[in-house]
Amino acid sequence: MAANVARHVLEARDLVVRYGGVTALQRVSLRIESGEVVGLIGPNGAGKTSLLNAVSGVATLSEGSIALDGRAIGGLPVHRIARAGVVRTYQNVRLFRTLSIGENVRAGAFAARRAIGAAEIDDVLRQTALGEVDRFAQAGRLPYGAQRRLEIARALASEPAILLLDEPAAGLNPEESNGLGQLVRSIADRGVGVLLVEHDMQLVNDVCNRIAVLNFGSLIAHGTPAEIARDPAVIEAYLGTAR
Amino acid sequence: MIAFLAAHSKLIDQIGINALLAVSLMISLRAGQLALAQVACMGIAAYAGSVGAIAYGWNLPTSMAAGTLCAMAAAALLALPTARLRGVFLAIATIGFGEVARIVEINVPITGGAEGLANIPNDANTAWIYGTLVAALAALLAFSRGPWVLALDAVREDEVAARGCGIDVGTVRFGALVAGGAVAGLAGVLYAHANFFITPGDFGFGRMEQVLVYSVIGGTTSAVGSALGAAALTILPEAIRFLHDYREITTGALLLGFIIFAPRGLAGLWQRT
Amino acid sequence: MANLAQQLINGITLGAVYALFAIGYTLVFGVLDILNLAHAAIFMAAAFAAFALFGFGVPLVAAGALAIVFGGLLGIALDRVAFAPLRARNAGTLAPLISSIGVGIIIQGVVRGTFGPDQHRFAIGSLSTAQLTFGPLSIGALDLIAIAVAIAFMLALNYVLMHTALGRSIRAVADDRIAAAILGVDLERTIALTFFIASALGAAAGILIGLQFGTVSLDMGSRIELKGLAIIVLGGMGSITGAVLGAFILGIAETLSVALVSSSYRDAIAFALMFAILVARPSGLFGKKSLRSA
Repeated sequence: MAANVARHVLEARDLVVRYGGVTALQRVSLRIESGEVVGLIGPNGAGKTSLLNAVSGVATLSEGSIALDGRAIGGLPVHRIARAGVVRTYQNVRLFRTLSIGENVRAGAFAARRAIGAAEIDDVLRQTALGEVDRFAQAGRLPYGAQRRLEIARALASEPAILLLDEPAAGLNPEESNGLGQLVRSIADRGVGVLLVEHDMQLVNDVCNRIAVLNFGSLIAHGTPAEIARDPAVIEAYLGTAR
Repeated sequence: MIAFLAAHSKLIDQIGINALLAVSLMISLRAGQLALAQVACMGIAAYAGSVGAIAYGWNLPTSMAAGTLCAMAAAALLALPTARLRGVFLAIATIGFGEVARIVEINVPITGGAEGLANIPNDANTAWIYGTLVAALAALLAFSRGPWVLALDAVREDEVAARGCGIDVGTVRFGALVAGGAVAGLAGVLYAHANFFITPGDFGFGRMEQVLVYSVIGGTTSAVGSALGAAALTILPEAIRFLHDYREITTGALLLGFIIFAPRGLAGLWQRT
Repeated sequence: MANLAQQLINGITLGAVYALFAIGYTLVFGVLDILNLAHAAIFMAAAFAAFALFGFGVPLVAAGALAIVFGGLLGIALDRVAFAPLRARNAGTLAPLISSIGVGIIIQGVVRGTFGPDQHRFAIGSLSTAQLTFGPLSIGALDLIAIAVAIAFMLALNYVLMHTALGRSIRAVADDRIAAAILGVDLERTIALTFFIASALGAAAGILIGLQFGTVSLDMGSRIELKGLAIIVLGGMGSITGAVLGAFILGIAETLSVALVSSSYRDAIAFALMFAILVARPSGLFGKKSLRSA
């Protein structure tokens, strides 16, 4: 898979997302650059998925702006944002279950606006430690951990500038989480900017350059893993629920 | 053999037309859309082509082209109010469209009203019908390796994920509807020219239900399967003629059996997944 | 003015029976997310059952009651045969639709085999033609009975749904099937009873229509079937209030259109209204399942 050598920057400024009477995001700003892994943590209901939904276009922005390399993408339909280079995975894995593994990866290539051949599919699968699986097997039959990796493989086929990962370690054992961490690091090293939403603090601390902390829809802290671990606001927000 | 085929030529023609209809429905079902407007599009094309043939002396290819364009236009028009509908809602809306079309056909003078339209030139023979069917199947098979059908499958499997892959779901659904309308339109004109007499009742919900049954028995995501399903169910009433009063019950039981025990239909015999 | 009032009465009569039929659709859809296309076949079979019983000398009210129960039982059988096996394997939207078509065809076949393909007169003596007059307005005795029966059933349904344990179970299953099961609701029993009620109402509608028109025929279901679909979309899928309101609106609209405009497009009104609602307000007048649009 051709590595993304250009430098990209995603700038989200003062995002506000409201659903009915509830404000899920309160003027949240975030910046993600090529090559870095930014962690996004916070207690349940803090707004992490809302932020992901806002950036990927699933949720409507009430206020604020999102720009990729200076080009405004806030308010665009989901598929246009994906084609622009902002690609995501989902909390409950959303694979095309009755399609084959190869077809799932091929589907990702729509966002890259080109068809990809068998060699490139194999390459992406190898990157995500799926090199040994049968390309023609049904995606829904894969074990859970492999399904997660396939979803990431599909996202890589989209040639993302920015990759949004929604709790990719959920349900994985420590060994699998480790492997996932290495995968995320290698994706960033190839030039993709990664936003990692996670609960697994071990993974977050190992892999992220910076961490942003949300609570009640607002950004309460932002810094290196070491800084965040010491931050009183963060400790209070979690009340010791961090692993 | 030749004598057998000649004796059953009407049935063979019927099979061909029903197969085209089943294929037209399959296109929408493949995209996960329960859009039941194909028979209505069939009727619109049948009337458009027939009126042209009777009034302006169009030959069959012209009739087919004109009729199919009308069917596609109708499908495109239908796509607008149904753009946000899914599942049962979409089914009901498209059924409603069919009813409106049928009622308009009964009342508009140019169609001959409820008595129907007669004296349509009888120039659609078996060759034309099967030529069209084979062309349609070949086209679909050619597309099935490519990105368009992959997009259909992705939309069927998971619309949200499909969008996230950069697929424009709205365009895919629109395309499926219009493509299905086109194939149904071809079937409609062929039907009219093969039967030289059409009535609005030919294009009602009853026929749409039948086509749905063909597709389900054959395999809702397989073009060849759908065609085979149509063939099997067109022959069935003739084959079980000896059952007399039990024909309907047998058909219903067969349908029930398939959907409960063999939901992938005949295509399940050869489809990988 | 008197003519308008007369038309309104006719419209209400029509609407009442439409309502009884439409409730059956919307009840099943609201509880199970299934579009039951065998509903019209049960409507028709029950009408034939009442006709047959009456022909054997059973008094009309008893024949009607028995036929309604018969319809309800057919509904339970329908669920057992067509829907329950699919529930067990989580089969999606299309499969139950198709299996309901299958059962509908079977029911049609049985009725045709028993009664033949022709239509039959369902006349009950002078009651068929009796008219009551109130000044300038008149209403057929049968029409009056139809309205009364329809309203009685709707009130009874409302009572069951709002004030009985069964009703609570049905509403719970409609809201969230899994949560209801966790909370101890007997799913299969509740679903079976839902089908009984829905089909009994449809049966009642069939019997009333048969009496009003004086005939029972194999295709009597197909004429009302599609309008019933339009009504539940108009009223909001899953909303009983919506189905009732939509039914009366349609009945009155159809009657007025025949009187004021022309009768040829009468049957299209249902679908014109339906499309108008789909464009303006896709969840329908009282729709609760707003997740039905993308």
